[in-house]
This record gives sequence, C-alpha cells and structure tokens, in this order.
Amino acid sequence: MPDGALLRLEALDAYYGRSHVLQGVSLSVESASVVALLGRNGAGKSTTLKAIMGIVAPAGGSIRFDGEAIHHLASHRIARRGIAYVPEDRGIFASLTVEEHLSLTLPRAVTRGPSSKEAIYEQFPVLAERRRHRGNELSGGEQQMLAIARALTQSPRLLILDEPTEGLAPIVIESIAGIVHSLKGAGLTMLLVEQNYPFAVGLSERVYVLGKGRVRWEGSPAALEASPEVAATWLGV
Amino acid sequence: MRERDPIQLPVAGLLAVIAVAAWFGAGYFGQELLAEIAILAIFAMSLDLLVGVAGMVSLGHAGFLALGAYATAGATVFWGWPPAAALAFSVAVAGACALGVGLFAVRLGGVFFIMITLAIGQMFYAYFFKARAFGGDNGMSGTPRFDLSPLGLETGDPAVFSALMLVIAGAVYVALLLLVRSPFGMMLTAIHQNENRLASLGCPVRRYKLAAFGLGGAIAGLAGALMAQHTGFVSPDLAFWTLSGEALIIVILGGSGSLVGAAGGAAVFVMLRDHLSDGSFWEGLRLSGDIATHWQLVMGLFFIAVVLLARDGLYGRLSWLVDRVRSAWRGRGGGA
Repeated sequence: MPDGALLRLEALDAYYGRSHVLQGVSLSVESASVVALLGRNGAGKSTTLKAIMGIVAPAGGSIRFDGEAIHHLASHRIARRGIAYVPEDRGIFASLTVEEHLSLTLPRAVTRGPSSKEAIYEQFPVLAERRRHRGNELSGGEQQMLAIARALTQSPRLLILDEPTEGLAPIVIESIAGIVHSLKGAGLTMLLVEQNYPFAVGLSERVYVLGKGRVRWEGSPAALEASPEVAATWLGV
Repeated sequence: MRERDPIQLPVAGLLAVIAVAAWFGAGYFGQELLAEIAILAIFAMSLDLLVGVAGMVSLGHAGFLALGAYATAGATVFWGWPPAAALAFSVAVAGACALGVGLFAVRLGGVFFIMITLAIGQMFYAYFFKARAFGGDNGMSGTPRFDLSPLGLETGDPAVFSALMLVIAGAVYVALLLLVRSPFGMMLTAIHQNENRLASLGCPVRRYKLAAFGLGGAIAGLAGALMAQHTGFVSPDLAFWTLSGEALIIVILGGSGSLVGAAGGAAVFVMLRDHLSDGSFWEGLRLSGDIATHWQLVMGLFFIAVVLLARDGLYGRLSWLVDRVRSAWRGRGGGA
C-alpha cells in the first residue's frame, strides 16, 4: 500500500458492550480518491465510520488522518481537522431551518461570509428554494441534500457518507448520485458506506468488503465484479 | 412553511397585561403573591434554559438559588453592602459555582446528569444546614430590600416591591428570549436535539453546555437574591431538592423550552397553591373546606392531568390549538 494515505485505519477494534463489532479493521483512503465500504447489515460499516468520527471509542488500533493520530480526539476536534460526516439518519435538526443548518457548522465558516453559503445554494437549488423551511418540513431527499450541503460548509478534506441513498426514491437517488459524482469530479476525497451496490461500485476506486467485523476482501471495483463468490458470500448479491 | 413559535410574543404580551391589571387590582396580600410569582418565574425561566432549551434536566437548580440568597444575606448583613451590590455579588457567586459544578456535570448525560445535580444541590443544603454563621437550620433574617428612596420609592411597600420584581422578571425574559434566538441559542437547541451530530460537525458541545449551565446558575442566583430581599429571610430549605423539583414541575406544566411557558407556569403554580390551600375556596365550590388541608393531593392530580392531556405543557397545548385554528381557517378560505 503506498504511503501518504489521507486516512489510515490500522487494526481497529471496537466493542458495543460485550460484542466485538470491529475486529482489527485496517483500511486506507488515498487523497482525491473514493473508497467504498460494503457489507451486509451488522458487518460493522457504520461502526467503522463512527469510530473515525470519535462517536464510538475504539478499544484498540489506530486511526491516522494526514499522518496525525486522531483516535483519541473528541468528535468536534476530529471534525475540525477537516473530516465531515453525513450520518445514516442524516442528523437533521427538526426545528432549525435550512439556512440555520448551513450556519450551524462552524463559527469560522459562518464568518467566511455568504459567498460559501451562496455557492452551496448554487450547487443545491432545491435547498435555496427551501432555505426558510424547517428540518421536519423537508422530504427525505431534501434532508439528505441538506446533510451533504451542511457537511460541505465545513470545507472538508475528507467527506464520509453513510448510506446516502438509503430509503430514497429512484429519481432522488439519481440526483444524489449526480451530486456525489460532481464532488468526486471536483477532487474531493470520500469514504462511502453503501448497500446500493451498483451506485457504490460505479463511484469508487477502491472497495473494502466487511463481514462480521473484519475486512474480508479489498480491491478494485472491476476485481470485485470479477469475483462473484465474494459478492455472494459477503454481500448477498 | 410555518413561522417558528408564532404565539411567543402574543402570549408574553397577554401575561404582561394580566400582570399589570393584577398589580392595579391587588391588595397587600395580592402584591406579595405577585412578587413571589415574578421571582419564581425568573427561577423557572433559568431552569427552562437548561431543561427546555439545552436539554439538561437538573434536579439541583435550587442549590444556585440558595447560593444567591445566602450571598445576598451575608453581604448585606455581615458586610453591610448595599442590596444592589449584594445582588451583583449573588449573581457572580452563583454563576461561578455553576461553572465549577458544570465542569464535570456536563460530561454526563441523561439520568447521570440528574443524579449529580441532585447530589450537588443536596450538598449545598447540607452545608447551609450546618453553617453556624448563617444560623444553621434556623436560617437567618434581616436581608434588606433595594434602597430606592432617592427616587422617592419605598421598597418596603409591597406594591413598589412587586412592581420592581415584575419589571426585573420582564427584563430577564426579554434577555433570555434574545439569547435563545441568537446563534448561541440555536446551538443549544441543536445540542438538545442531537448532541453527537453537532459534535461531529465540529461544535465544542461541552463548552456550550457549560456556558448554558453557568448562565442558568447565575440567573438562579439572581432569583435567590431577590427571594432573600422579598422575605428578608434565608434558610437551608432554599437549597432543598423539592424546590428544584417544584421548578421542574413549573417548567413542564408551563411547557418546556418556551420561556414564556415557564413564567406562566409559575403564575399558575402559585395561584393554584394559594387557592387550593384556602378552605374558603372549597366552600365557595360548595365542598368541604377540609379539602384545603389536602391541597397537595389535588395539585398532584392536576399535574397528572396536565401531563396526560398536554404532554408539551400548557404553552404547547395553546400553540397546538392556535395552529389548528389557523390551518382550519386557511383551509376554509382556500376551499371557498
């Protein structure tokens, strides 16, 4: 594995109570690449992301971001290193408006003026139309867009997406996919957890397959396509 | 799109009108009740900042009220400070102590936070209970009221004092409302809704919670200082957990997170207690006046009814009702 990975997990262990949910997970994300984390429910995908964000405390192993160990840091410090996280439940605040969500992220980002916010609205015209609507007045697709838009206001160096297409209508998935593809085009580094196999494989340069808390397979999407037995055993496709 | 909290200001205006009308109509005893309501409203609003806005349920908030009361009593009686200076001292002492307590309390969530605040409140109680300088369990009296004689006002007059308390309560309300609607308040609201989420956005959640806890404690200290002035007497009971519980009941009864609900809840609470514990009130209803001795039982039933029928408190129910009427009105207009 070449050095200079933006994010590197080594032998990461994590527990929920007594159950050993991550058992020595190692993976790396190169700068300006998209990495997909695949696996069935309960494989440990979301937990891996939560461990990176400091929401789940790892019991062992290390997480390095741009060479710096971050596994002992509080969530907000990890975010401030330049990692933005879009959680599976989208994490929209019911009583805050779209506009407020975008001002929420960091005092720094707010003072950077409307330019960045306007740029976001240009990228997400749907949100511009709904800027005065509250979180609980948005559709699932709009909430997902808001979650991604909010993450972008952090000017992240790494964007972590947990199942961005889950529970959305096909036409909405298409527009989310369009946004994610354009972010990739702009050179943003991304780590993606997805159940939507074609979407994930079409987007990423490297795939890790997780099963029961361990990395069971890693390689390129093309190699995964060529190994139907991996997909059958660990993904059920 | 709905306007956020459209009835906040109308309800506040209505409460203000009622307060002014009550002030003009009240006799000696009524003025005492008004002052008590105003002070309790300040205390309840300070707790609402923690409970309703930031989502930190504290059962030890009375500890800071007591600190404020004792600080005022001590500074005026022992050191001869003027009451206004003693009041500033009370706010500072209670705020500083709340920051100190908050340093470790805000690290905990849920039931652990409740238990640690309860324990700390009881520690204050235990301290004042044994503190000989402050009269121990007998408490101490002699706290003077503000001196407004240069303005030609005599604060010993209940009407003057209650007017002053109402003005201060109004000012605290306006200040807290502005705070809740500021970016700082938005952060607290977001923390209440999903703390982890906000942390992973880069927000130092604990620092915000600590700031809210300190501020809530300082305002509780203000209420305590005013309470000491009002009754002229402080005792360890001010720190006892049941007073924290009462404030929590007031916040829940009024509708947590709305500020004006806490203020209104304080009024409802004091008026109910006053009426239910008065035998002639029950006789007026052609019932036995003996029920008055069991007023707490009736009060308890009332709270159970409120919690069952209006889970988001009186304010929440009113808000819901206004919303329904408005949309029905709009629906009729649109259909025609």
